[in-house]
Amino acid sequence: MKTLAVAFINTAFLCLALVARADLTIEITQGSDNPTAIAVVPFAWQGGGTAPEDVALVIESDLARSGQFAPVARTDMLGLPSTQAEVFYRDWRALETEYLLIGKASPTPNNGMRLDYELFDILRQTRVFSGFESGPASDARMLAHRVSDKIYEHLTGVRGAFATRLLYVSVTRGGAGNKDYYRLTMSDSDGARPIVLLESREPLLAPTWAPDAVQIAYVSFETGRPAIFRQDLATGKREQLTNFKGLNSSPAWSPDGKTMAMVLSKDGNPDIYLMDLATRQLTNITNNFAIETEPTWMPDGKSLLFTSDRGGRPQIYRYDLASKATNRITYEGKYNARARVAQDGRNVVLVHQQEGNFHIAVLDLVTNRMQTLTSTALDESPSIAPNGSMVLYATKLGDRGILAAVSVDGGAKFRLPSREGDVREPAWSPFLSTK
Amino acid sequence: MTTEAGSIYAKPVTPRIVVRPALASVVLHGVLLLVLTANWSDTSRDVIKVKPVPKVINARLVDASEFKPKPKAQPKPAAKPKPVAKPAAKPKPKPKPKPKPKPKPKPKPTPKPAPQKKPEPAPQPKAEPEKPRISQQELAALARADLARVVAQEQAAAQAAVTSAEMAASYAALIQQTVINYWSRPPSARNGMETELSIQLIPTGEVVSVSVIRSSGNSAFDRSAINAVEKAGSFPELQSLPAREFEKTFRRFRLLFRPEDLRY
Amino acid sequence: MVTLFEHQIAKVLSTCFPARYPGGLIVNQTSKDPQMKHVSVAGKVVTLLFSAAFLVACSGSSTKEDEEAAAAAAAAAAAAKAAQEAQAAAAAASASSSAADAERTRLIDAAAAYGNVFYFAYDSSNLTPEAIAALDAHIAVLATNNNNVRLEGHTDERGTREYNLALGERRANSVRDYMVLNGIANYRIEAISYGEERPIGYGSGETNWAQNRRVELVVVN
Repeated sequence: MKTLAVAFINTAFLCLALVARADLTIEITQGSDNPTAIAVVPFAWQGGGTAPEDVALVIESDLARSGQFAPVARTDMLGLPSTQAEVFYRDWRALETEYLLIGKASPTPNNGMRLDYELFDILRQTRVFSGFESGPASDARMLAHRVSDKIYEHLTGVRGAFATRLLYVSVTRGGAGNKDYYRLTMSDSDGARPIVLLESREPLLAPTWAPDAVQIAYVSFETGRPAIFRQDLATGKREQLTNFKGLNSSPAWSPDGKTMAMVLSKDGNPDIYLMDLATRQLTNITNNFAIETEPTWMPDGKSLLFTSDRGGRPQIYRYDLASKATNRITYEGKYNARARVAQDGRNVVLVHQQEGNFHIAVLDLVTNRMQTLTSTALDESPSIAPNGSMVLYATKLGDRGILAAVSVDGGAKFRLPSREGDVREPAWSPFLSTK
Repeated sequence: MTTEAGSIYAKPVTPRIVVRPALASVVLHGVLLLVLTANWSDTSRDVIKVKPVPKVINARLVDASEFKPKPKAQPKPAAKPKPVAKPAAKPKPKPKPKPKPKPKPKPKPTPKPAPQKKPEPAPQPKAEPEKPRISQQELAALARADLARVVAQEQAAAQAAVTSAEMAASYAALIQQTVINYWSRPPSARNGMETELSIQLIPTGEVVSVSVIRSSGNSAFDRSAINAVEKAGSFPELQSLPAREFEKTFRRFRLLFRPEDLRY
Repeated sequence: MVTLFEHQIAKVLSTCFPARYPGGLIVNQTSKDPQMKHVSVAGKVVTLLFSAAFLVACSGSSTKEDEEAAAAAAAAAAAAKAAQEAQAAAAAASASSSAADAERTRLIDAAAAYGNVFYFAYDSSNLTPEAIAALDAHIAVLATNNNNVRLEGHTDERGTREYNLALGERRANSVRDYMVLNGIANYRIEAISYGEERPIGYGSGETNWAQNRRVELVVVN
């Protein structure tokens, strides 16, 4: 009995010692959002001779452009592992690296290529992810972009948009008295591998993608008047969709691909029309004496945003297809135009004039707050990446037109490599289906 | 039992000896229960909401040369505390957070670090994918050095007056600031998401265990929280804590990651 | 003297455009004015060019669609017309031409002095007094002939491209409305817009921008 009592008392005191502790919870309500340090080691080429493409460089550039990652410089790398056995975590920890990507590139039959990759978490000293991509060797850059997509998605939780394409118009001057050259061009999302789809001595503008990324549409002055054309990317086959008097411009495919919004001024002033692509029937949705232009669809296909100066100066309005109601949505500033909506249906990028300068801004439809993203003065034609992360737009560098991009939160910026002539009117493709 | 005439109730029976050990058992168990459930901490068990301390005070002069675009910018921190911070032209203008000297955070309106949305003063002449910035280590070291110095002074000057709560709060602020400096949120993070981690330290300040007690449901978000602690690695300033305080508060504690400064 | 060739041209023209070209401007002068025997070689070449342009246009029926097809020859026709007008003016000046011809020539000169480009203020499609004066001169000429015209609206580079397309059209329409108000038939005018796509001044700054905010009047036939 006595021992029992002693035992109990001992236990009680033990518990006392254990519970005599303040339970501390520290709240972390802010962050620093520094880019994640990642080392992308050159992929080992398993074939003969030199590798046809430096895929690791493509991946590293992709991740850096997103603003979320800070790649480790190759000159700092202490080793170039291509297999797990060759990875010494200590070496990478010394460089403050958080993640390590290694890989191999191998030739496959019929001029193919296969990229095998492994992602390591240096802090926890473990492999966290691996996979492979394969396809034609001539498409090595696109394979690399797909690897970037996978890595990006694994580390950020957001689908990557590196394996996508861009459309833009490139103009070179014809010289005194001569007409300029207009080229509708398609390139990879990093501006590499440009392909000219159409060349003309008359203006080209407003290129846009069909939701299936198989067709595109644009406005061409080749007939002497602006007209809307659509073109099949694979075959190059073209079709003129409109031939009305006055303006025919701003083609915009609905998300289900069945309807095309457009601007026609055949009835006296520019209005938004919806064309049923199967029947070619037209419906006017903005019967108004003002200028209505630049229609764009909301991702759910149930409403459209467009620019109208019915209030005196251009502002963005929203038209609901079901209720046929039109409401104004921009109230800040005297000039808001050319809206484009992100896939989340919440962020709208547009051209916003402030003190005479034209910037790219993003409007949050939920909070109604507008944030200016750029500080250059002649920005136009914003186009959002299909994952909603970055905005591509046209701007001027000196006297030349160039393309630049900014992240939707304004944190990351980059410029596309400049070519000769003026580049303008970018359009970011939807996600491409992997063949 | 027999009853006497006139009473319908049983008379009390003298308890047998066998009841005493049982009573003792009950009493001792009761004491045990009491001891286990009693609130022995000096303060309430509530979360010590160490709010981010105001950042306008004690600004440090930042030399503009620290922000020149270099491949791996490792600028030296300016050791002289000057009253005015030069507005350096950099792509992510963030006032470097400086903790207040006093351990008790005053209820001042806390200006959050300016989100990197301000238009740049001049268009950048070239693409700058590598942002000129003080490395995380430098930044963390700065914060900790300053606070540690001040905390040490505080301790030396008024040791008797410092209550356990104040001490806990000041070291908690240090931990909080360090973790903030290492926390990079993924793009899928949203205000209000919550991940709670359980952290275990040893008296040297080293982190020996990090585990998720409550997940936010977003694995990238959870991972970013764990990474923040792992990148910090240790809080060596805790070595100057008296052992009793360390055991009481910092041997095992929790970190609740709940962002409030994101766009949405 | 009137050659057989020119006579035949006149006949063809009369059949094609019976209402607009009773005999044609040139042929009238050379046939009725005995002192016009020395039509210079240049004048004949210009006549040929001008006539050829119309034969091309006259290949179908004389409906408005032809204006479209003739648009391609607009530049050449305009140049030809201007040269021919100058030529005719010079020729007429050397002779005591009829008062109507002298008046027509004077009007053409006046319009030429103003030029065929009308400028606008920023973000405006209102006609400035200078533009109105110039327009009045052109309207006077067009009242005496049967030319069709094309009004090409332009803007400076500021703002979005598609909105500028609409703004350019608004400017062109502004000019057209004024012309119609002053007696020029609606079907003689086509208004189109190039927005900011065809600048005169390629750089930024008000000097360039001011040159680009314009409507150009182009004669198409």
